[in-house]
Amino acid sequence: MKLVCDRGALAEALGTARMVVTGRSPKPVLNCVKLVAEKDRLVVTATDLEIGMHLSTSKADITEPGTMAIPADKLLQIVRESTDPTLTIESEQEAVHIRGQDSHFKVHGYSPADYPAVPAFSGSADFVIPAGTLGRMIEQTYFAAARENSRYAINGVLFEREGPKLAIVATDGHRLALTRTVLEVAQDPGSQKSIVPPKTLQLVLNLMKDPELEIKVRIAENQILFQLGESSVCSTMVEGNFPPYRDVIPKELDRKAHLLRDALLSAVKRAALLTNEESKGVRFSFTEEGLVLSSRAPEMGEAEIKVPLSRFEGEPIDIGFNPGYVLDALKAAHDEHITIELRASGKPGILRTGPDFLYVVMPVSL
Amino acid sequence: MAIRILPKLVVNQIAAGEVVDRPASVVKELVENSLDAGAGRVDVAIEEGGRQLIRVADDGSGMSPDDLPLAAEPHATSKLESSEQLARIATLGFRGEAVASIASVSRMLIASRAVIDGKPAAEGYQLQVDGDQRSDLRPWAGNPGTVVEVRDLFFNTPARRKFLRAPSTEFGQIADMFARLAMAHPQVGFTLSHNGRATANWPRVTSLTQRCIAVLGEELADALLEFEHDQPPRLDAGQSASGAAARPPRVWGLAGLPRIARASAKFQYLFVNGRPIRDRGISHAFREAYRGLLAADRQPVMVVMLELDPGQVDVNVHPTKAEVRFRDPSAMHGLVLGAIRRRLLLTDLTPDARVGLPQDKWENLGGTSISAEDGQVEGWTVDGAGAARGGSASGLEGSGSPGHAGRGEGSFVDRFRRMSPSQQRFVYEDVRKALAESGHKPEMDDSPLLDHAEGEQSDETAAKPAVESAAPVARPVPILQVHKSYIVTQDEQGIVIVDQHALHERVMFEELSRRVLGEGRPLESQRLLMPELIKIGARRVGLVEELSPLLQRLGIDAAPMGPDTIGIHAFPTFLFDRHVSAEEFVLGLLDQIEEGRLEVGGQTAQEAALHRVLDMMACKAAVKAGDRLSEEELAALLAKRQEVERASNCPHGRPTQIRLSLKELEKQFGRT
Repeated sequence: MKLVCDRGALAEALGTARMVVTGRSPKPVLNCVKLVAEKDRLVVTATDLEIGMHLSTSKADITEPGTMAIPADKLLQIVRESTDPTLTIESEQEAVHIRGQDSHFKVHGYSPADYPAVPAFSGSADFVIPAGTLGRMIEQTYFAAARENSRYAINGVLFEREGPKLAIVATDGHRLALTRTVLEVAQDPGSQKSIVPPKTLQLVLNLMKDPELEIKVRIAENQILFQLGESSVCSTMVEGNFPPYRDVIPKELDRKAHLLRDALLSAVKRAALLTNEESKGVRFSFTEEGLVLSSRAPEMGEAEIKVPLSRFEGEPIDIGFNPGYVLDALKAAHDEHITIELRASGKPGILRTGPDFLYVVMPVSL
Repeated sequence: MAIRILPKLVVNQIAAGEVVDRPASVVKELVENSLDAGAGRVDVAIEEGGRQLIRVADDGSGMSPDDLPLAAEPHATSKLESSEQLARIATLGFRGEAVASIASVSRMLIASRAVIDGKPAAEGYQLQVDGDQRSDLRPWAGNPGTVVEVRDLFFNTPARRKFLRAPSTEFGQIADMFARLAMAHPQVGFTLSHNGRATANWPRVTSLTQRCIAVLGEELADALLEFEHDQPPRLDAGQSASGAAARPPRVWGLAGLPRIARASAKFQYLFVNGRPIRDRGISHAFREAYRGLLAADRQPVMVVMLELDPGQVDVNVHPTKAEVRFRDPSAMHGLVLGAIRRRLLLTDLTPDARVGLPQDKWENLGGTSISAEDGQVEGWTVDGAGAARGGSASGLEGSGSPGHAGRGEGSFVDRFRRMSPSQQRFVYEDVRKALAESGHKPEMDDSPLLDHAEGEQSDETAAKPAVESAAPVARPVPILQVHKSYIVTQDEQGIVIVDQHALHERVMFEELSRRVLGEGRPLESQRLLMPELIKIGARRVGLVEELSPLLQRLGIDAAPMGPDTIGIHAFPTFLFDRHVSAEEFVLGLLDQIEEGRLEVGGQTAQEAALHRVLDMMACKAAVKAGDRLSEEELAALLAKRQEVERASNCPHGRPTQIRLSLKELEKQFGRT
C-alpha cells in the first residue's frame, strides 16, 4: 500500500478515531486504527468493539491500494506534529513508513487481518434527518443520561420513532429531557425503539460539519448505524428497558411562568455561586411581581437574584431546584423564550422552549 | 410474737451489713477517718486480703481519753453537730456509724495519742473492742495520731465471711480503693503493704497531677492531658441550703489520650470534694467527650475532681457514700463534658510513629536483641537505625540486622497498607509498649503537665507530655499519595502520614453532623422522577414505617410500595453526589437495626441512631483506600483537617494520621 495524503484531513480523521480507540486495551490491535487505501479514497476505521466507525477522505492519492493496522496514538502524534502539507504513507509488511520533506518515520503495526470487522452502513435507511436537526436533538438530551446503570437502561438515550414522529429522550432519574421532531423522510411507517450510548451520539455530533447534510439512520437488531456523507458510525445499543417516560411527565400544571432564557441562565449561575455540597438547592420564588432566586451555603453566605417574568399565571409558589439541572436545560434550550410550569413545591416542574423541547426536573427539599 | 428492742450488737451488725460489706470498705472508712483527722501520712497494712488484719495508722489529731470510748459507739462523731450541718458536709465521714459497725463484726483495737493545740498529749490510750465486749482504757505508748487494727473481720458473721473472695481479689479491691483515696489527697503520704510487702508508697507531693501520675503509672505521664475549669459565679442560681451564695463549681482533671484507652471503665476516677464516687451521668459525659475518638469498646483513662459547694451535692444518699446526688446533675454533666472536650480540641491528637528502638536502648542491648524487639513491634521497624548505626559504630553491630537495612519506606508503607484498621491500633500499642519497656521513662518534676505545654526543647522526647504538640499545624507543602491509600506530607514537627479514607470519613461526618444535628434541619434531598424500588421482604416493610421520622431527618422519603417492596421517593443530594446507592444504603441500615446494632425507639435512642447513620453515610461517602486523588483533591482534603473538629480520629476512633517526628528521624539516621 502506498499513498500521498493531505495531512490536515488525516489528522482530523485520526483525532475523531482517538475518541474510540483509547489506547488502554490489553489487546494491542485494539489500540490501532485500520487504514484502508481504496482506489480513490482513504478510509480510517476505528473501534472499541462497541462503537465502530469508518471515516473516509478523498484527499488522498492512492498509488497502491492496501490495508494496515497502526497504533492510533503514535500515528496521530506523528501526523499532528509534522509540518508538511502532505505525507507519504507506505507499508512494508506490518510496518509503515511515513515520509515528509525532512522526515522519515517507521512505525511497527499489526496484521490488519486481526482487526475486528466494523459493519458499514448497508441497505436502506429507516429514516433520514438533517444534521442540523439531529445535532440539536442530541444536544438537548444526551447530557441528561445517567452515568451509571440502574434497574432501567437509562445510561443511554432513547430514540423512539412512530411513523414520521421521532422523539429522543434521556433521564437520570432526577430530570428528563425530551425533544421531538417530525421527519420528512421515513421509509418505514412502523415504529422503532433504540437506546443509544451517549458516547456514540457525541461522536456523531463531532462528525457533523454541514447542518444541511442528510444523515441516514438505520436500526438493526442490536445495532444503530449512522451514515454521514462518506463516513459512518455504528454502535451496539444499550440493553434493557427504558422507563415509561410518558408517565413521569406531569400534566395539568396550574402555575406557568414565561421568561427569557438568558436572564434565567445568568441568574441561576449567580445563585449557584452560594451553594455547596451540603446545601445545593436554589430556591425559586415565583410571584406575579417576578421570580426571586435565593441560595444559602451554611457558613459561607447567601445570595438573592431577581429575574423579571414576562407573564405569570397561577398562585405564587416556592420550589427548590438543583441549579445544575436547570442550567443544563437552559443551555440546551435553543429558543429565547422559555416557560416553566409548576404545581407544588414537592412536585416536578417542567421547562419548555418552542414546541419541541420539554424538560422535567424534580425539586430538592429546602 | 412480742416486739423487742434489738440488742445493740445486732443493731450495729445490721448497720455493718450496709456500710462494711468487704475489707475494702473497712479500709475506706478508716482511711477517711484518718484524712478527716488531718493526717499528713497514712500507713495501711493488710494481711490475707484484710481477712486477718487491716491496720491503718496516721499522724492525725488523735483522740483524747474522753473521746476514745465514744469512738466505738454508734452515731458518735466529732464531725457533725446539727442537722443543718448535714446539708453542708465538708468532711469525708459524718454519720458516726463506721467505727461502731466495723467493731461489731471484728476484733478491733483503737489506739490514739491526741494532739492538743499543736502539742502531742503526754500519753496515748488504747481500747480493745471484740464484738460487744470492750476492754477498759489502757495507756499506750505510741506516736501522736491514731492506729486502728481490725482483726478477724466478720468472725461473728459467718455468712458474710463465707462470701469473701480469695485474699488476692480482696486486696485488689483494697488497693483500688486506697489508690482512689490517695489520688484526691496529694498532700498526704500514703503507704500500703500486703502480708508485709510494700505495694504502694506515695510520698506527699504538692500537686494533684503528681499524685495522680504516681498512682496511674509514670509511663502514662505523656499521654495525660491536664485540664481545669472554673465556672464563673452566677447571680441567678446557686443558692445553697443555708442561704449563703454558693461557691461556683470547679473541675480539674487528667484526660487520657485515645491511644491509652482501656477496655473497661476501671481507669476512670471521679471525685467530688475529695470523695471517690461513681456517677452514671458523669461517666456518660466521659464517653460523650470522646465520641468519635475511641472505638465503641474502649473507655478513656480519666481523672476528674469536682469541687462543689457542699450545699450543691447530697452525699448522704448511699450507705458507703459511693454515690452522691447533685442538685443540678445536667449542669455537672455539661461542666465535665465541656472541660474535657475543650482540652481535647486544643490538642493535636496525632500519634507519633516510632521507627525502630530508641538509640539508648539498643546501645545497651547490642545487635542481637534488636531483631527480638523487631519481632515484637512487628513490621514497624524500618531498621535504618541498625544500618546507619552499624556504619558509624565501625562494626560494633557486625551483622546485627542483616537484610533489614534497605527495606526502607517501601516495606513500611506496604506493611501498613496491608494491615486492617484494627490491627493498626494494636500494633501501634505494641510500639508504645515496647517503648515503655525500653526504659524510656518519662521524668517528672514539680511543674504540672501544663507547663510542658509551653514546649521547651527537651532531649527526652518521650518524657514530654503529648500536649506539647498542641501547636497549630502549618499548611503542608509537599503532598504525595502512596498506594492510592495514604497521603504523606509534612508539618513543622516531621512527616505526617494520613489515612485518606479515615480522614475523609471524619470530614464527611462532621459536615453531616453539623448539617443534621447543628441546624436541626433534614439533609437536603432530591426527589426522584420514578421511585427507586427496593425489595426488602415483608417482615421489614413495617420496620421502614417505624423508621420514618429518622429517615425524614436524613432526607430519605421511603414508603411501602407493595407487600415486600419499598419505594424511595427522595434521597439526600449529598449521597447522590458521592455515588452512594439508595438501595445499598437502606438495606445496610435495616441490617443494622435487625442485628440490634441500632435502636430506634425513644428520643436519645434516635439521637444515637442518627449518629450511627451519619457515620454510615460518612463512611460510604468518603473516598476509599485505592481511590486515586488529584493533587487538588489531596490538598483540599488535608486543608480540611484544620476546619474540622477531632480531625485526628475517624468517627470509629481510629487515628487518621500518624507522625514521624524529625527527632525520630534524626535518631534513626544517627544525626543526634
